[in-house]
Amino acid sequence: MSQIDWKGSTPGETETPVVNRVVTAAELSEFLRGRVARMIGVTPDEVDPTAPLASIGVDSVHAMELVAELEEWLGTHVPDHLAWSYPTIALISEQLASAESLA
Amino acid sequence: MQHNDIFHSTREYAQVIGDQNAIVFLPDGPGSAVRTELSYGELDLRSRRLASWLQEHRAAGDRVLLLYPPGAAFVTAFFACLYAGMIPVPAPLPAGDGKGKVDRLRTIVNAAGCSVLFTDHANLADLQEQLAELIDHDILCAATDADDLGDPDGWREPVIRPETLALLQFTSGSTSEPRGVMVSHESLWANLDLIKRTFGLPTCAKVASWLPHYHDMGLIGGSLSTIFLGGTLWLMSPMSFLRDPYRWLDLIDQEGIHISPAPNFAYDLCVRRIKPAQVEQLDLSRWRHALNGAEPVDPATLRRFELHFAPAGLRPETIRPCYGMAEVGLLVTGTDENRRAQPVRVDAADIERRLFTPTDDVAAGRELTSSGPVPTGFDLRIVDPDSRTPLEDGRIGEIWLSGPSVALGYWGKPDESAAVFDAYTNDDEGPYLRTGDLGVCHDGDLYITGRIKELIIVNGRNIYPQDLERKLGLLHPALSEGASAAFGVPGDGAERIVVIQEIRTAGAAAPTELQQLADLVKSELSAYAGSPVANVCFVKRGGVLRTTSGKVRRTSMRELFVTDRLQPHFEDLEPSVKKLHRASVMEALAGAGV
Repeated sequence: MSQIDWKGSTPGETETPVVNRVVTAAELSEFLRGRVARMIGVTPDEVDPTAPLASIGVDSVHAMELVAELEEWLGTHVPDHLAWSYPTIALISEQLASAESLA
Repeated sequence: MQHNDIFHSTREYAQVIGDQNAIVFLPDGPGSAVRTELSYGELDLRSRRLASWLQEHRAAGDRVLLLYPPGAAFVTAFFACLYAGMIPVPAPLPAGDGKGKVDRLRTIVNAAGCSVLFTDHANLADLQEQLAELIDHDILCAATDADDLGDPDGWREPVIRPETLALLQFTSGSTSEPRGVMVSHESLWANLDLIKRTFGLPTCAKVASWLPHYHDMGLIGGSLSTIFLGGTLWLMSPMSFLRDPYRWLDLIDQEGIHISPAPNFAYDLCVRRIKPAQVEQLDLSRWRHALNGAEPVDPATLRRFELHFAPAGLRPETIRPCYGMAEVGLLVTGTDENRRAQPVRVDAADIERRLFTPTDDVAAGRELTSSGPVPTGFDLRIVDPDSRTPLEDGRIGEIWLSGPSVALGYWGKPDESAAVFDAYTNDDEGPYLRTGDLGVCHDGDLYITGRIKELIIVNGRNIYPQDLERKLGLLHPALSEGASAAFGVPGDGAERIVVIQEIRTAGAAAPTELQQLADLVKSELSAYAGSPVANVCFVKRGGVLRTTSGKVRRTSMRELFVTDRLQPHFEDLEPSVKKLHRASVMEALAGAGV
């Protein structure tokens, strides 16, 4: 039975979308650790940003949820394959931050 | 119409309803690009054109590998093979998640001896290069999406007999030993007809699907049943659904879709991701068949989905648990039109002992959902898998099937085919297909209670333990080959993968070294499988039990694990697995005030 409390207050859910400013890799990492922590049922501190996402239990369905949530938060398009091409939170954050600053 | 194969019925639809769309493909990204439409007339014309090209280069009965992105081009190529009297072999494009996909493609293309590859222009050059390294025979590669191959007037009608193969359906997931199910025209037709009768589907049905087009549920449940009925299929890519599940339900609403199939996880995803404000925008009152199959059906998922979408007018009887497998085409049984799937609560410990004991005890009970009435399209027997004795109603045993839907066997594997497709009971009745699934007939319904085959199912994908075990032995010198067991255990609503591995020097190794080794195992195996492998146990030599002939006893290892009697040197488990299978640990932690 799923224990996911999708109605409860969750980290990031109340955050307003980022508009017209550069998001740093550290902010992205914090956002993603909060989201992943909720998915796998641990606290954000327990999520190792350098561990491959699949190795801590994030499946392809969850990975697409991360993409959708990032899009919502950043207000820009995030590629489908992001979480497979850059399979850790650290890599995703660095990639997105550099793409953001180029934009 | 007086036909009994899908080639002839499609030819007739092209005459009678040639202008009607067979497929409408919705590109990814809402509203950004134009829909692709394929009418019955166009399907017929393009199939004849491509078939004439195939007939020019290859002989009837040859296997044609189909590697396509989601879309109408795949469906055309599939029918072109039937029009040419050749055998389509659908497979996933070897890109995206999972390094195991390339291994899998190699074994499929070599096992089936495919002599042609059909794909689209976008993928042709890459695939040609990849295949050159993968295969040991000549293969002719062509892109079929530009209407420039073949002459429709040069096409010759194929000879189709009941036993002529309509496709090789490679069971999903297995990388090292993929098995191509030989689906004949007769068994395909029988199963399509069974799907129609089971759900009372109208001709001209409106169908929606985002399922992978090469998967049995996407191919037969989506494309082929639509074309069998002379209906229209609205098609989305799996990615499009995963990114925004609302698009699926919105499509069902906008087009007045009758029927749409999906695995259990998809219904949970909709509940998680579609907000109440969006639910209010939807009208799902015309949706008649929300089929739930391809992985175990969770009664809690059904309830959550029903409740969440009740404000959209979703009718409870729309939700229809099903049971099926590629070895019969697709469907064995499904919940029929006139009733809701009723769960029954049975004693959980008794299920493990293969006893079916209904109970009112919420704590000790496990809910099982009916997969529908005991099917009429099959002779179904519940059989003791060891003694092969048929069992009476109310007893749990292996589900055995015979009937016109049952496929002919596995391509090129006579021994395995005989063991699976040619089973006889101890009173010499048969032949039956052994499904490897455990179930029970109770009050006229079929309930699935578990599996004896050691398959792991994650998000509708099949994963074979022997693939993981083989890969594991090659990862590091400390991991002895052939000394591991992989299996699935229940997690939060989904199956989770556990691997147990013997380590020679487990006692001497420092915990940090074992953690490093576990991290390596988790990341390499997850990348290989394309699904999370996030639970690792290391045991001492001899800790992985074997039979006297040396085969790994996965079921026994699984039992030791779930009953917390494994006593590993080291274990690294996901929170959801710990919570369900290490209750004593959690109690100890709670007692310590952690």
